Amino acid sequence: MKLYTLKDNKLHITDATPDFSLVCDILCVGAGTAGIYAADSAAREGSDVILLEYSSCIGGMHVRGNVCMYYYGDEGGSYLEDEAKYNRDVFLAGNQQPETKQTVLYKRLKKSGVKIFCNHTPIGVYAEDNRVKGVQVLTNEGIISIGAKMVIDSTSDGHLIRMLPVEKSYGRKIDGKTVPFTVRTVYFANRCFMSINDDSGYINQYDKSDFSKKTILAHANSAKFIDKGEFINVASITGVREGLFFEGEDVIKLENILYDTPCEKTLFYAYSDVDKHGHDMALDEDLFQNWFVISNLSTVTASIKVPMGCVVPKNIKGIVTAGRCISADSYSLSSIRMNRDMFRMGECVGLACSMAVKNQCDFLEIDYPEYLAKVKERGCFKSNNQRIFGFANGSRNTYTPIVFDVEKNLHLLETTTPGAIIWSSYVSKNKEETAEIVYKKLLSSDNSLTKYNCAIALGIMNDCRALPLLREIVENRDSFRFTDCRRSNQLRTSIALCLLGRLGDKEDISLIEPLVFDEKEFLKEMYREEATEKYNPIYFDVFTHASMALIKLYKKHNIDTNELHIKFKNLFADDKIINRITSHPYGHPHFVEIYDFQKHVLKITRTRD
Amino acid sequence: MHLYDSLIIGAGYSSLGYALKNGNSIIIEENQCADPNFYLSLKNFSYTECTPVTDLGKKLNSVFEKYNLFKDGFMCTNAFEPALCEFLINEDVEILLKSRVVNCKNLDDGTFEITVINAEGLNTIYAKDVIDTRPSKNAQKYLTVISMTENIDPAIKILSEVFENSTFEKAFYCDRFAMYLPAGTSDINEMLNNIHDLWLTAKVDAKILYVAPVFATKADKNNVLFPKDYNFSNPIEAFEAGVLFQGGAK
Repeated sequence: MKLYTLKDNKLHITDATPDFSLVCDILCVGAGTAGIYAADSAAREGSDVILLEYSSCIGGMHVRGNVCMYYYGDEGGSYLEDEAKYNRDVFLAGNQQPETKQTVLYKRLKKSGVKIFCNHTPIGVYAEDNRVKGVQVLTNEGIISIGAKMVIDSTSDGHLIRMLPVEKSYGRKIDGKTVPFTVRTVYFANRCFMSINDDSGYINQYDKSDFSKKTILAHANSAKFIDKGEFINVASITGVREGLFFEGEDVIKLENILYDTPCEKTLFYAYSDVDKHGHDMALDEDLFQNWFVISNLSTVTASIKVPMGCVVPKNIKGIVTAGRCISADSYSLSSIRMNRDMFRMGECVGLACSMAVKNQCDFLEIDYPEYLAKVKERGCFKSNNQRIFGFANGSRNTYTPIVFDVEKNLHLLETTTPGAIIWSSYVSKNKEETAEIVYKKLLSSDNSLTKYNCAIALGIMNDCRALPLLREIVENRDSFRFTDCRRSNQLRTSIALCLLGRLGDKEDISLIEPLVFDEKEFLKEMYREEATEKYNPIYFDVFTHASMALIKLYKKHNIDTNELHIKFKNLFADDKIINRITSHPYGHPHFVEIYDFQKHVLKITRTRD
Repeated sequence: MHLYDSLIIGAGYSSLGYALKNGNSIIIEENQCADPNFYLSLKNFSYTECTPVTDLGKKLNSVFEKYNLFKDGFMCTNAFEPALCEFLINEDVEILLKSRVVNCKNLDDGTFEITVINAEGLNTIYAKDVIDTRPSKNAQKYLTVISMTENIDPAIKILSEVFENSTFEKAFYCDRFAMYLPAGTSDINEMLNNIHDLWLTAKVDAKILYVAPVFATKADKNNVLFPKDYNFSNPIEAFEAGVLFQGGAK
């Protein structure tokens, strides 16, 4: 047997002969949003379950993190029963109050017979021949070892998985950046709990100093809410949104969601849009940009198949995850972490683990039809497996589809909501044919809105006939945004820049350079629109897209970027760009985004010492 | 291998005061915020006068006064921590949140090798001195429950009969009162559940607004070598005690 620990973020393996003071069927580590339902679900299936929690309170982000219901995530599962119990006989509010939820969840766990141990911190994992056998735990009384047939890592940040020899990475591929974290502040006004969700910048929860400093900074920023009403508190759990990526037996990527990749064994369906926080889309991957920027589909929702293999670390048995730490890339993870989905994921994982233990098989070897029948009975799995992918209306019962026959819907290119037809062009089976149809539409139109939309549709299909009009959009740049979505609508200028960066000629460099380096550019009226005292979103957007387009063109045409590097270095030297974009202090997400963008640009343009 | 002068367990005011005064200190805090004794545990709301005498104490006090956290004989204990953090971001102090001490070993040269579990897994820290500001295992604990009602006195009368040995005081805002319940169990979830069930039977005209997520500790000035927060009823006083403290606690 080996004991796997992490020392200073490095894997450490020693021989071990643990004396398990406690033994169970299923050890669930982390009594958070998913963990509670995982433990309860397994116990209700007859398993002997132990649930560990680092802090003194159960519930995690859902409870002491003050996260209440969100409009994404799908309905179904045991949590619905609990919601109905959030009464106001004792506590003032329903799901707005952690104490309400904490009590209801505690009663649930007690009823199902889960043994709960708080103030228990996992410090090591025992495994033999790549099969996890138990966990080493720090308690108030000292260190103990707990043995289990199956371990569920529901620590939200994959603290057990991190101790194991499985491939891991963190954040977006290009720069390792994750989704911003939040700090929820609660105050009381008009006999209601009011919760402020303050995106507080970027945090690395795996770096002890960064985590501590950024948390303190975020709490300091929350002081501005002290006199807002009756200040209740800043949530005692830092609102981290994204954790590490680990290589699972299955991996879910953005393309799996957007292209609806078939899945042999679906664990459950999540439901969300691709929930990007932050505005640095200029740094995002092409596929994401195609979706979010060029097609302007930020609020389009999808029913997302989450494969069973996504919770199983590759080549390691006896452990699975439940919660927001699954084998999913940064983009897809942003769609699979909503409250309701985490409840249901926990319930599904717990049930499957129980089946595995009962049948003495591995998690992925359980009888899938039997699993499916059980989760459907629990209400955790949509009986309608049909992919729902579209703009949802308020009640979410009807959807406007976003993928259709381009030829039959060309009129949408005449609107300010061309997102769906642009995307439909991109995913059309015969792009050449579609491009011809769109080009004909372009030629036959004398309306600039239509022509520009056609150019964008051609551009997303990599058709260079888009170029003249894309250049025109940039030359005539303005603050025009498409209006497909209820938020995060994209600037047409940024879309054109994004496409020019991919398709442009060498000559387009001289078109784009002034947007970045010309002092007079910032004086344009378009940058006054939408600007507040603290933030200039249009300038940030155009500047970042233009900068990246420039760099891409240099590289595409094999021009040494060192000269560009020197120009950028001089441009950034006196914080002029930061000051144009934001007056927020260091640590604020707006500041961090442009600051990190500058660092990234200098890094990727440097070719000489 | 850096050798700190002090490793301090617990990010309370006295720890912070001491660390800021003496420098080369590191503070280990198991929670995800500073001030576990006043803010997190809602230790008390009544205000005890304290005029700071140290420069650091005056600086901290000015932040608290900026946010009106001492008013009309009460303290807005709920809001202490963000104000404290505003003070801390301008100070040079090393704090590791969400960190717990696993092991503390006394080395031959008299220094300490401390193993800590945190975001990075296990870390080893070396220090000349270890100051443990955590309450002893035998310390008396209590849980703070904040409630609201328009009829405080009748509500308190009913609750004092239902919840044995509980004490009460008015909290910062009007119509709010704090109930301090002796901790009969070490499990806060179990205690909250019991409070809920008893409250229902009490049929009291008051609703619970907030329950502290950690236990508070009753003051106990016996055998205490380092000034610990729970022995003070004013955070500025606790902070100053740390600033003025001479010598470590071995």
